[in-house]
Amino acid sequence: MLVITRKINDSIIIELGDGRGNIEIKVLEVGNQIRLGIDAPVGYKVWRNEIYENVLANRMAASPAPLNVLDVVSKLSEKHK
Amino acid sequence: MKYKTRDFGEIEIKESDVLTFTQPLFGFEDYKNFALIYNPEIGDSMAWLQSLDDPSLCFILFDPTPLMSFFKPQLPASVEKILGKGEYICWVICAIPDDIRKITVNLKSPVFINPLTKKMAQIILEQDYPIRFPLIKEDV
Repeated sequence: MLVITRKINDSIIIELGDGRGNIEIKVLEVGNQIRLGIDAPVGYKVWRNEIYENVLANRMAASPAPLNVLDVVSKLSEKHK
Repeated sequence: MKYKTRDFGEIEIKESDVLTFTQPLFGFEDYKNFALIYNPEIGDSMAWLQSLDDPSLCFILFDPTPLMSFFKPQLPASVEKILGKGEYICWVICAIPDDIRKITVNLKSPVFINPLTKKMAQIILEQDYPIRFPLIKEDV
């Protein structure tokens, strides 16, 4: 992990390369919590990481069950007996 | 009104059974209206949360009652604002991979439904529950 020290109103630039633009992350407020401002090109989604974990889980859950779900349920009911 | 579904063909869903996300599923912010569909062969331990906006979008939910010995979700105080007053029904979302024995449920962020207001929300619990909890213990 790259570790950089910044002061309030300083920012960092992440250059995406291949003409895809830059992401700028600016430190807006410092204290018990910090506030960040993020500028990213259209099409890039910015998530809080704890929410992103759920996004990934939801995307996986949305892919069609590849099987007869009845099999799953019968297996579950065996396990819970 | 008739709706196309992913797993059950075209079925009749009453307007009074339409559920609306006031805090949508993370990553699926554009999809608000759903209905719960039960498979008669399975009963009410699982339910299909079918999008009414997109027939191909469907989630399989699991009633976490069998897990209540350790899974005791505590709702944040702000929930009344999101779902309205009343009692809330808790479902957890299943992820079912090709190998069905590896089925997991998201205990960290259940879906809560207020049957009175027909509002629902996916809520990240403060409690330290896993996002991928295996429902079936590995056999030795």
